[in-house]
Amino acid sequence: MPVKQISVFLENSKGRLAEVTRTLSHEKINIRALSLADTADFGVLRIIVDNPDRCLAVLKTRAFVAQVTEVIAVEVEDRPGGLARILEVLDQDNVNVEYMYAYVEKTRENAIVICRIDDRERALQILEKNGIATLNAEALKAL
Amino acid sequence: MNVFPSQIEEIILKGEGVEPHYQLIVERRDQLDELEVQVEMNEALFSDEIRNLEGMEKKLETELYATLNIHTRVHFVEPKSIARSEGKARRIIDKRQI
Repeated sequence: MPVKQISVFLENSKGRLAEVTRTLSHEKINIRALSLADTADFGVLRIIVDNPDRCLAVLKTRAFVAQVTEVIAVEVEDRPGGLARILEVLDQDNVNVEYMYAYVEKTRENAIVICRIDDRERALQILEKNGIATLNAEALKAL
Repeated sequence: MNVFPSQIEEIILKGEGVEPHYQLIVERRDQLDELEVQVEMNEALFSDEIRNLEGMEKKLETELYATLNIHTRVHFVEPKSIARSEGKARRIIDKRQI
């Protein structure tokens, strides 16, 4: 099951990220995971929040360019080689991971990584076939 | 050499999606004029993947070079970051001190 990530365009200048977090704080939207990809001029903020639809609406009213991107939340065994196994399985079937980042970990047995994969449906099938669990939005929210 | 802003406008606006706002900034460095093209990001252009965004900047630079025969630097900027003025938009900022 894919989950919704919010992707935001940011200029690489002082205070822009703070403007996003200030806006979300004001609207009581909680960031559960975050990744910031940057270049010399701009960055793309990718966040998993407790309420993606409202998050998107709020950012748009503040004139940010933002969109929903469907990503996969994959359970990873929290031991050496846990992530290696998942990437091995995807690599064997020629599935390319565009980017990934770690999800907030509380007291759980397994860790979670957020993966952006172009061929999402096929990736989900491969993961399922190999007994690797993914989490849907509700499961993620309940953590 | 002469560069007409209308030539640049034509290239920027022929891209797909919503019409982007843009601004041209001319600077002089080591006796050479440099042209920076700032294009406001919009929902039609945006991608969550850096390589797509950088690819679009490069593509515009290549197209501008093909038409104008000069190298430009294309930068995406945040929406509403380019000043709007009443009536005619101020498209060119000339920072050269000659």
